[in-house]
Amino acid sequence: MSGLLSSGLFCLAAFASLCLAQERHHEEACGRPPGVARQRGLWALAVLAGLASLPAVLARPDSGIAWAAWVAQLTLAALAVAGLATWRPRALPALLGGAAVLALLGSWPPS
Amino acid sequence: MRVDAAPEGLRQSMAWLHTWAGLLLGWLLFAIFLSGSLAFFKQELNLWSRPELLRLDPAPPPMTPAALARAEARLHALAPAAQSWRLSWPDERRPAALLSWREPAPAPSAASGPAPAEAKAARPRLEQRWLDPATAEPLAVRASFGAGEFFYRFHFELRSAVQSRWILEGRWLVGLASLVMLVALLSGIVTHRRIFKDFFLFRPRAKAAQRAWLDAHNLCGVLVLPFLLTITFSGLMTLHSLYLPAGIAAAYGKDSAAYFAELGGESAAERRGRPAPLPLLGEAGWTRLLAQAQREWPGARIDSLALQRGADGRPQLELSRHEGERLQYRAPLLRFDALSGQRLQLLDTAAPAARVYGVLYGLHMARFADWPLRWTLFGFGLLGSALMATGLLLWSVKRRGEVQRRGLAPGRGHRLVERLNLATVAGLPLAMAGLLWASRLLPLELAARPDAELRSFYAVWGLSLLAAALGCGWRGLWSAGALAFCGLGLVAGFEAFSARAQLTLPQAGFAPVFMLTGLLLAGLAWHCHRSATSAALAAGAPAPARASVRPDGALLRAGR
Repeated sequence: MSGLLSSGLFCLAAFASLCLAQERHHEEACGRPPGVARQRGLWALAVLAGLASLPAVLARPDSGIAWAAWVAQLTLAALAVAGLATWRPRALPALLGGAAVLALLGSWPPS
Repeated sequence: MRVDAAPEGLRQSMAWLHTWAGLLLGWLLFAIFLSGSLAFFKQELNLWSRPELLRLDPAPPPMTPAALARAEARLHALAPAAQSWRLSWPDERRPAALLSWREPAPAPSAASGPAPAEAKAARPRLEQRWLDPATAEPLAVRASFGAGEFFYRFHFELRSAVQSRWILEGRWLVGLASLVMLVALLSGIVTHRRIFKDFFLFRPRAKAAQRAWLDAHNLCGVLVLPFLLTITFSGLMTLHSLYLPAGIAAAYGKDSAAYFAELGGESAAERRGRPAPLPLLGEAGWTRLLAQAQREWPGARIDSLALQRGADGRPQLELSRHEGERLQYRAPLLRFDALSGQRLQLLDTAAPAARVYGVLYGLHMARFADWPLRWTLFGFGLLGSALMATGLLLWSVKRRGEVQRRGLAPGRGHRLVERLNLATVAGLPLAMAGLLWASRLLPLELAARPDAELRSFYAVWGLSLLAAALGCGWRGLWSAGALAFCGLGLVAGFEAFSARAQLTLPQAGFAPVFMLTGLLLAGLAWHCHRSATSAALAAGAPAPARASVRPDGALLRAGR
């Protein structure tokens, strides 16, 4: 898998966990608000996934264009998560899990 | 200002600023954003206006000395007296080479001396021809302004005619609108009470239409904020010399050309030598010059080359790298002595401030963007346009709700805003379709055809304003837009089918894109129809013909 794709999947996982950490969206997705521990876990996961999306950007030769593309990718991921939270909130946990696993698989082994 | 004269918080005053600044320039901002988004596809839309170029091989041929010598020979055949010339080599988005040159001004008649009107006409004239890059044959291309070029020019100077009429005024207005956009973005951030809590929140089925519109407005604004802030600030910067001339004047006096020269990395604006016809370099000359360029810029992609006379009167060759190679705008230039092949100067600024400016400019123009990124940026531009549209509608919906609660009829101001919303938000896409249709409907031999194209755009826009004033509703204008775009899709599909033996990517892409646009507009019309019907059913009356004037929640609530 190309570095760009796994970096995009990490962005998606980051926003999905950020979204699930919100009480309203967690309740719509799982039927109950998140506990304190789960909320903190989701936030930590969001930060980690966000950081994990960076190496693919730093590896590109033209860093200026890569950063611009990264911001566009973040925005796209946020829009996708917002769409899912609006029309298919129950799919959010699956998106989080799927995106995280695929991204990890795609960036393995670390170069 | 509050009626009870109680002290006002920062958030309230920012909300006031956001509302009124947004309303006054919202219509213009919508038009600037939508046309700017289309300008990301300037080259492709230009190809729609000049379908003759679609027949060329989209894979650009290599720039060889023989090909350059052929193009040069073509120039000398077409314009032996040209004082300078430029050849833009094709790339993936522009299949033809563009040869442009400067014809010398006709000599003034010695007897009387030029009258002022004649002096104006006696400036060197810029000519251009499209060439087939493989053979250097001039291509017979219809006269057109180019739809992409028009959207690009409309975006930053509200271009209204081929001859640059009112463009300074247009640029001032666009600059003012960008400033207001920046103010509206910042005041909007302050006004938005729950920017993180409601980060992903959208309730299209909310009972109050106002709630759904506000969610949509917030979502468009917050999620796309990095794009919106960048594009607004960089857009404001691109016209800085117009509205911030004092700093330039203080440092450079009247010689503002020196400022622009330094911005481009030149030590000073170089004076051009006395104009004179240029020598024919021939294939041997081009072999030497291209080898020299390869040594200076290994692996570089050359976008265009220009031949002109330097201050010493010797012919100079100027090479420009391809703009897709880096973020910073403009691409660096390299100058050689055209006869000896000696390297003269590299034009590329190293000054930090100028580079920051170049990067901002580059971000705005997005010449670096590949296809996925280009489409993404286009989508963000559409969301930015949706931000203006939802903001404008929100103004109406909110006030109409208040008026209805008090059992009053909407005032003249409200009706005016509603009609202008309609004519702008639904009328502009229709006008854009009008311009694209003009490329196909205007007779090829029509005099001043490019001007007629531009007039068709403004005429259709004017007609939709008239329709809105006469009571045509949202459904009517969206449907007209949908029909216009689906028709364009059919025409494009037919053209692609007739050219199926040698179908190229841009030509294959027009039909689906126009069709999708038409379907999107049809979807909007259908939502307006549904919400008008359901509102009428709720009120226990048959669907009124004019209920579709009201867009309240129409786009969003119909998701049920």
